Amino acid sequence: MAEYRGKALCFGDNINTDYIIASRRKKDTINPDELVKYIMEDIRPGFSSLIEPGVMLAAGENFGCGSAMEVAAQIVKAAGISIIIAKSFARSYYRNAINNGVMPLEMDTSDIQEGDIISVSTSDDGIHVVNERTGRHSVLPPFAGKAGDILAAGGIIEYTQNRFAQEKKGETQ
Amino acid sequence: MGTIVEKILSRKAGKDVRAGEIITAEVDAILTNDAAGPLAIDYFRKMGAGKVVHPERIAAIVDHYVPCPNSRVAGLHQMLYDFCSDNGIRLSTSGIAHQVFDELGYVIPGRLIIGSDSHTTTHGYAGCIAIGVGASDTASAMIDGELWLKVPETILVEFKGSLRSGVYGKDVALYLLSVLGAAGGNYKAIEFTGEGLSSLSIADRKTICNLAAECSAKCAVFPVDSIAEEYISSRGLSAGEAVYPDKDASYLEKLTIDLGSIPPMISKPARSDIAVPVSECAGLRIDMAVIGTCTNGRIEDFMEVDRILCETEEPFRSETLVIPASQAVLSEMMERGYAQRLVAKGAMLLPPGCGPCCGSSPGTPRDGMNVISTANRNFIGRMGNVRSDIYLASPVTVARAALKGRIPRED
Repeated sequence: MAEYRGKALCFGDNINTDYIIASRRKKDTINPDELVKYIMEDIRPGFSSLIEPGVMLAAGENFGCGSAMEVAAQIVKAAGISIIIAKSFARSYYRNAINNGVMPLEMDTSDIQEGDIISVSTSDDGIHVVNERTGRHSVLPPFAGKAGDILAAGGIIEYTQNRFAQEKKGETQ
Repeated sequence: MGTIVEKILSRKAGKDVRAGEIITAEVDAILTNDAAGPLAIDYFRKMGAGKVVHPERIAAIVDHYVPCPNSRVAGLHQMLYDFCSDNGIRLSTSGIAHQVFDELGYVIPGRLIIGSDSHTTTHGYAGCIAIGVGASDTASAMIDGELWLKVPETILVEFKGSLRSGVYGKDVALYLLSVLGAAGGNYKAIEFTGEGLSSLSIADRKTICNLAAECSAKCAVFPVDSIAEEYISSRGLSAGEAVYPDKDASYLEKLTIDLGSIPPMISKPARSDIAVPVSECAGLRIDMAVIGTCTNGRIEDFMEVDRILCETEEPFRSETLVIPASQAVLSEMMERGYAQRLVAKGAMLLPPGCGPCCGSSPGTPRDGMNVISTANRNFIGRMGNVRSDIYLASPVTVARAALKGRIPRED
């Protein structure tokens, strides 16, 4: 029910949150829009200049390990990246991504190369991921339960706002 | 039929739950700090929430930026102070969140604890489920008093034998990381068992649970044995809610570790799971040594360091930074003469807090420096300079290296 298409920028295994955004940068500000220029700076200087509309991150195992700092999910969102594809995610990052409306897609990423165009479409029967260079088509199960509800709302802020609005409606009826 | 984690989460969910299930669980205690706290408050407000549901279950501890370095951080601190004051939340400036949270008595067996810091896992030492989460999950739990969770599968780690002299919980933890790898605990819980527990002190257990975060474990839990019971009751707390695994509990994997086979360990740059015996790095030049952090900044750590310092008249050859985990630890270090001896040998004594561990407070290494630290992370740039290398080891290994200016040849 939603379509995404964009270029993949690739990373390896165990990309920790300090690499996504260095802790020292948070001394100046916690505003993700200001911090976004530092994204991945310690492992890939100049990375922020590569980000164009539609870009997705593709990575290996345990993406987002280390600190649970949420700024590491917020700046991905602030960079305009809606999708991260990885072999696996660190659990705290997985939750933080969902809570910020960034879709963490867990699948084999070994065929994805830097610059490959990836298309993602979500529907009730699952999430379809196509690598346009290789033609590989992967189908992932849809996000279930509360995680699915939070993503559908666009993040946990919107989800909770909606819930409060519903509760208020219930009270006035 | 259940593991410790399944049994505690069953209690908190009000129904019998098993690994793999997604549940909503009541949260007994929440920890936050000055790094994630202001962000959690931001989420809280944007979500449209009014007041927190159980302020008495929350502690906010200022630890990353102490003393406050600039007006920008002062603003963030003010936000935390105001929020705590408006909501009746306890705020402390007495040291590192994990240490102070424990000192304040929030860590009680059988509890489900969440904290907006990955090293919240530390509190598993007391038979608690203690999970690090982000700022938005923290805000959510402050609003609802509960959190959705997936019940994790458990890796059972059985300790046999006993620690050799000069080997500590830190060495066990680094060894375990080298076995499990940086992703080895992801989505999983770790439960410890075995006769070897009797040779692990409470301080050792805290260090081991702290470092469980580095194999990405959701939580790590020690059963409440007589050592833990004694510690908990000595602090006026009750172990009455302690939970034990069932004999027929189902584990994802079982590992057996002979404590007697573990040598002093060291993690090489820039991954804590690349851990090797210290002897493999012998002779390496050490420019800076850091003793402290939520991993190894406790009085027991400084007691061991002091023993090493008393063996020699020599001062530190490396630039040595000492950061007690809390004011209480610092006071005790002064009473026992540890602080005086450290300073006399040339150490720089920094205020209790996270210190330079993640580059949030002063102590940034210069270009080309080799740093040895008792901390838990040695990622590139972790201490604020990408052109320095960080090695991780026990307080005793760090103290020995600081005295020699090199990683010692013999342990």
